[in-house]
Amino acid sequence: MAAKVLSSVLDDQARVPLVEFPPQDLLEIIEGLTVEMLASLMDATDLKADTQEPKIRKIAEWALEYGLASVCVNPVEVDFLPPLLKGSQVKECYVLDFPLGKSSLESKRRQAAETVDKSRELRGEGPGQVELDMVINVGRFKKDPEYTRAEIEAVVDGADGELVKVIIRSGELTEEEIVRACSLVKEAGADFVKNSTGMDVMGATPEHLWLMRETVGPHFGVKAAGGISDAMTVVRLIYAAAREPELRDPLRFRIGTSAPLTILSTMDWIKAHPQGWVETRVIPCTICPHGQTSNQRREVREIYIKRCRTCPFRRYREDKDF
Amino acid sequence: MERGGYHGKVLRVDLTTGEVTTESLDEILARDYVGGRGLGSAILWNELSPRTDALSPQNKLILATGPLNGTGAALSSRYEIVTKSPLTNTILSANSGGRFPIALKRTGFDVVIVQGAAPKPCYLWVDDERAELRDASSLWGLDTHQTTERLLEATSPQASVACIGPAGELGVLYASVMNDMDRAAGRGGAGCVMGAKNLKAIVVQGTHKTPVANLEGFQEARKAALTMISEAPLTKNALKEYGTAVLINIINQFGALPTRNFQEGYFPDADSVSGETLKELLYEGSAGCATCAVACGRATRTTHRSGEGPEYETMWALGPDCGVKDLELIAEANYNCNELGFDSISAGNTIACAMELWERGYLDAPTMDSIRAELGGELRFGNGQAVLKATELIGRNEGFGQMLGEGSLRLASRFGHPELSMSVKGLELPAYDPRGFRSMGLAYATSTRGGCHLRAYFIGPEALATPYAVDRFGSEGKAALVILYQDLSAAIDSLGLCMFTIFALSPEHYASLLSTVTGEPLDGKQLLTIGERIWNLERLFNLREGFTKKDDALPPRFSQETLPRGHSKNQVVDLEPLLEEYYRLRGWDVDGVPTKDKLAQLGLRRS
Repeated sequence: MAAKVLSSVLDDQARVPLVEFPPQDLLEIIEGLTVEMLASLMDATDLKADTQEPKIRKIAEWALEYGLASVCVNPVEVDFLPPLLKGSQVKECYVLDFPLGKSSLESKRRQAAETVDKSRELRGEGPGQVELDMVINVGRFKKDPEYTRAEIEAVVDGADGELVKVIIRSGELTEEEIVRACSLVKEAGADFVKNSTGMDVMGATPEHLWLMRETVGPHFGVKAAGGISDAMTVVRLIYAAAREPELRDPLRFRIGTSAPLTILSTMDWIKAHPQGWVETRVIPCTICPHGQTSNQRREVREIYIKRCRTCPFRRYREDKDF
Repeated sequence: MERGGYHGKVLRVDLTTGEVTTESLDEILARDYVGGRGLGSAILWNELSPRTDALSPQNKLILATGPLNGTGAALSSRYEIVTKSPLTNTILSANSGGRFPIALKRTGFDVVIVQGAAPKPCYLWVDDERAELRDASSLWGLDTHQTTERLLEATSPQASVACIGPAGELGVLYASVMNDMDRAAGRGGAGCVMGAKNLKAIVVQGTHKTPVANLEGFQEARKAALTMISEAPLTKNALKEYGTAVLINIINQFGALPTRNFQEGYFPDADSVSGETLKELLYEGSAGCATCAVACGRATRTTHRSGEGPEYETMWALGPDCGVKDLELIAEANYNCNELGFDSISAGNTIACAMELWERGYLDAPTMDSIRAELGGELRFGNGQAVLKATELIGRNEGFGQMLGEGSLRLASRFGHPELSMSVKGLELPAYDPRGFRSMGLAYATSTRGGCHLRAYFIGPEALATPYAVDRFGSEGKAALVILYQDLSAAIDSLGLCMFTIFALSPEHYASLLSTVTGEPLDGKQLLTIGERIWNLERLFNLREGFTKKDDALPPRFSQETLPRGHSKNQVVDLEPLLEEYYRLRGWDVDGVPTKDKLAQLGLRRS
């Protein structure tokens, strides 16, 4: 279905944002999605500048209690996070060169290596417990993709075999650039491509996630991040990037969110009456590009503004304008 | 009783004979209906003869706690008064918070059943399973604050008081039962039933702890629920910061804040009566119920008086619905409602109805003359002084207040224009115009106690994006979700929890709290089935009282008159298709009667 919806993926004419979904497809996803499976796909995230240790400890508690995939934090937290997760399946996830990705290649490599070494030292469980979410330098990428390849290879090298996810800041890219970036990520030896830092101009939109999946194929990881705080959004993102049940695996698909418990709770609400929620057409404002475009470069912004004019949900903007 | 959550005792008080007896709680009834609204409704269904006059001694007044009262669960200090409503003749369950619900539970009784009528004013004093009726002649005529103070002096300063004011004594059909001074079991006239029984107050205290079967599991469930309440935006920020009146600006922005008796949906001066302005001008502090992590209540002070509130619905009813923008006058009118003891929603809505009757020239000249004399001016929209004075007249049941005290349907019918009563089944509608929120129209029309927002608070999805934002004008899937909300709300009201938990918790959270307290496995779907059983029982009660499909209707204004401005402009309600779908999904026949199969599935019978 997704392929039909976006078959002319790089042809902008007459396209609307991917904000409407076939009810039966969503119902099938909901039916096959247990709360445990949903939890296993989530990276519980807190990357705010003013976050303090108690909040990280709380998130770690949630991750252990609900079986989340990882706790995703800034690298500085590596001095106390590893012991909190020791003995569990929950991974530590550290973001590198966040959120702008403007450090040098060597700096990125060094930060990756230091973080991995420190984690292994404190956790004492050997390799396989750490994940690194790096950010590419989008400015350089637009003019010199080979620089980006070198950046990713540097981090993969510093990571010493640990899982690497690459944030491409898709809201700052044209669709052609998204495709190119995804290909580079795969070729450079990383494990996942991730759309957003959650702090750049656009959060997780199904069409970007679909495009990413189409580009990297089924045997590569795709992570959605940015503004994801309810289960219906997750279901829609799964529709876009993990429609085949075998893709709903923590090594193939991941959700970055600061609201994992709300997602689990809202999944309960859906499960209480899947048909009702799907038929009622939950408003997709959280995944709609509109309203996220003000800081985009002109060539990117124009893509979304043009599509918004034909969006069937456009009238909901009225209610949001306050 | 082995199950957690219950003391296993019912206190029965016969006011006619003065007899006070203790009975065992029916375990099966408690299992099937949980507590609070469900258990109270089941008892009323079993004990009340059909077509009983609501103000006769034969009507029962049932105070029912839930299994979570007294357990320490967050927001678990709510109880229900269940009776037959004198305003609507439907089944009535009125909910209130404060300290009283937990204090009642701690007496060692799960339920108090009051029947008969006392020969002279009395009050009930329950102290740790010891119950007695005492003379209240000296309290008759006192307002709810005075009564509470006097009774705490006469009994125990640690006790908690639920009482009526003059409105309940004098037969105002929407008189409330006030507890802990300013907390109201407000809707439908439970205070009027209490007054007809010559029962001025119920005073409670005790030391009984609510047993919890699976303490470790309960602590986990309690912690999980508290975490959700602490993290959800509405309970974490908006309600805590500005109280419920934070909704004034929000609902107005949707163009669905009923204005001038629902003639409009947009009030230009909304901000002058908003929660934000209240905080700036009148706010003294937060006033929360026991165990509450939100504390949405507002302690307020005007130039001359102090008290609690106004809450959102009251602010709207005495404010925008009457065209009034003077915050001080609204607050003081609200104090009148609380102290004299009557429902501010019905009062404001009925005054607004009278204002429209006045402005359209439907009142006769002698009535207008006497109103002018009593109110010191004309009863026109925007006259805040008239609203303030009208609340005094209602509470004292004097002059035009006698007509206002009968509710908007009787008032409008008296002057030949029942269509101007903004009510369903005789209960005045609350502060969400169904032309702006499609599901609320269906929720109002099918509510078992009449025009009420709390039987299915679908404002969560349609306005507040909780748990999801849905198309507020769309119809697809709405009937199914209104049913989901009705069933879940019935369950929440039966657990002893605050309805605001619905902004943070899911059906599974509620089920987890209940199952760990009782020790019996239960999941969200099973809890919803209990809610469905309660809803169908309430429906059966109303059918037995003579209500039919034609009573599942909205005032004609909503289908015939469009809203003139705002973001719901040009909208009307088309109820019939939604209602048909609703009946079908409920498992009811085309006349809205539960089918035999549905009743059998829920373990119910029609009589």
